[in-house]
Amino acid sequence: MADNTDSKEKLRSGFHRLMAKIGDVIEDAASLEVTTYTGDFTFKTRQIVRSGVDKFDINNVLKGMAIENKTNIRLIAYTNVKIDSDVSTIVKSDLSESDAELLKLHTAMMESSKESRQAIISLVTNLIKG
Amino acid sequence: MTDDVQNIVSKLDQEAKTLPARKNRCIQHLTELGYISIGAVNAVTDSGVEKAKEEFLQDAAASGLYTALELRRAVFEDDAVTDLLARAVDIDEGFVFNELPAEGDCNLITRIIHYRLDIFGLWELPVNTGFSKAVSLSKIKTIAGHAKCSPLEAVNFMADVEKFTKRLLSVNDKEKFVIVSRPQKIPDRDFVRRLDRRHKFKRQLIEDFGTKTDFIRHLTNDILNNHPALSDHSFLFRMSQDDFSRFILRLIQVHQWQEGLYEGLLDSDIGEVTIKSIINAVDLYNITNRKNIQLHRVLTYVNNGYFLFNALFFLQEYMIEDDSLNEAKDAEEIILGNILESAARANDTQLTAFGLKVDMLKAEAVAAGIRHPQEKQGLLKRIYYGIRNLFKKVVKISKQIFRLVIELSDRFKGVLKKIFGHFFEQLSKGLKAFTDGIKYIMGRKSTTTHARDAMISSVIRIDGDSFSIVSGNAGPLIPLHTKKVEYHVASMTFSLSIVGGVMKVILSAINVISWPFIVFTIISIYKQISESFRKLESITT
Repeated sequence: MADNTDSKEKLRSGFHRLMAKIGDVIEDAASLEVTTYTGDFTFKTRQIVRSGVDKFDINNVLKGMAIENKTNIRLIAYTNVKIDSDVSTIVKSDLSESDAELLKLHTAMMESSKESRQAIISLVTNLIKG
Repeated sequence: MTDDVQNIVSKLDQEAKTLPARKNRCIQHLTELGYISIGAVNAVTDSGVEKAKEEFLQDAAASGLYTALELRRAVFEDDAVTDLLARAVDIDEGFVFNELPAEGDCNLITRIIHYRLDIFGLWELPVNTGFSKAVSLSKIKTIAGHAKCSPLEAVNFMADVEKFTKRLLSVNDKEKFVIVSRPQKIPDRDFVRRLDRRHKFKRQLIEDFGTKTDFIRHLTNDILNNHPALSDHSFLFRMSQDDFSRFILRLIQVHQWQEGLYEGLLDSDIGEVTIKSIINAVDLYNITNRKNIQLHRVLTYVNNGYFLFNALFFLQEYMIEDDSLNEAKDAEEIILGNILESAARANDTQLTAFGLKVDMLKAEAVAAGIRHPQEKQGLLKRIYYGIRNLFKKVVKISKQIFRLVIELSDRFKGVLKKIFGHFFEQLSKGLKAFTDGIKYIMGRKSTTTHARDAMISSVIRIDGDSFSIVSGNAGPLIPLHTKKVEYHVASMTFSLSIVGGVMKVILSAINVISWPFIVFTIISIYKQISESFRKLESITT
């Protein structure tokens, strides 16, 4: 817990930068995008189980699919919500029974995404209130 | 992540690694509730602990004592199991029950009742013994007899030691609190000679109780006389064997243990260690109340290993806090506020000294956490983790705590260890939430659910954008995955609130920024935000 002047400077600078980053995030929060894809990536799932879920990164799946030349991921639904509440949604046209099941996930993710955005807005509001 | 922000996260991660682990606390509580037997605790394995945790979680879910949210958190967060256990073994603000278990029941409520009886020295069987009228109820009736109440009330009184003490003081004759004790191992001659305050103790006794009753007359004439060898030893022996007296001595030991003044076994034996802890309690009382109470007000050595205690004065003055004083939660806020204020005003030398001493307290807390729990002489050597009563006492000197830490004298080391032990635990949770919050802001975290070849993975960015990828056969995983995402978002919301609170304090005091200041700000904000989230949870669940 010991302290010195140099580290104090670093701490000040770190908190200023963090504040700047929060400013950037709030700009991005003007619109909200929720995207749900499905695809065949059984092989990658096995890899995840072997390497431990904690280390899993969604990008690895996408990268792996590209390497394996398996690019057959299909969009199930895409929703865009603007800050003025304009909502646009694209849903796959020929939904199979199992695809329709996945729409439930998309709806749930919408709610969680809104909550998540609200969390950052609350943080900023709280900081501005002074 | 930029270098400067990374520097903060690295420092916080580093700080978190030096904090006491909660694993042994979890093992202690599992043992106290009989999920791990006392005989097995010294050599318990990781798989043994996991099995005990699972058994506890099943009982906790069936008990109706916890909210659905608390139970869900325990499934996703390992540390949350310790929080559930902590509530079960709390004897400051413990669970209150509406009825006693039925004959043969061996559920969590039975275990909690047996644990409470064990704390007060009335339970010798394993805690996980089924509830019975013949043993459990009969022991509860002993407590009910002392507190002059029903068995159910007795069980609930034991959930709040301060309230219980008040009850005992209000319904029993005051003379019953003048107690004789003879330790199993008589302290050495020098030690007892220093504690021989017979004449002063006698004068005080007459002042407090008068000489109207036979009991006091006998004590003052035949026990506290100039010829201790001629004292009525058979009377002293009878008094020392009295059930109520032995119970009150155990109560004193429990109070001392709760406040970090006594670190020995809860064994009802008022030996040298307990007596020293009573001397320290008098010291602490004098400091916190700016008084100069002498030891003879509380105890004296008589003869042949016998001590006399004025437990009435001790319990009334030292162990019961005035109701008009702040509640413990406010007291904690005041204490933290004053430490922060002192850190903001301190110069670099003082801050460095404070930081070093806090590190020493931390090292001792880590060592204590490693040492406990342990089986010793068939009993469990353990730590009391609650802080309610101690905080209510210490709040009176909270402006001096920063200085007392820098001085770190042996007199108050035990108390400071207990106070900071609690802060370290808060800090451990606060740091995790705070660094998680920064990581959410600076990057992204994914939530994955999988089973065999089916998988769902979702990423929610801090600005709300989300991306999910689902294997075609993952439909059955959706309910579990949705729950995990909800939990993830709830934890993100909590973490961002902590970041917001801490940033607000730090940015408004950027000129006085220092590492101790940041650390205690995190503890303080974590406490405040946790409280408001708890309130919100209780409304919404």
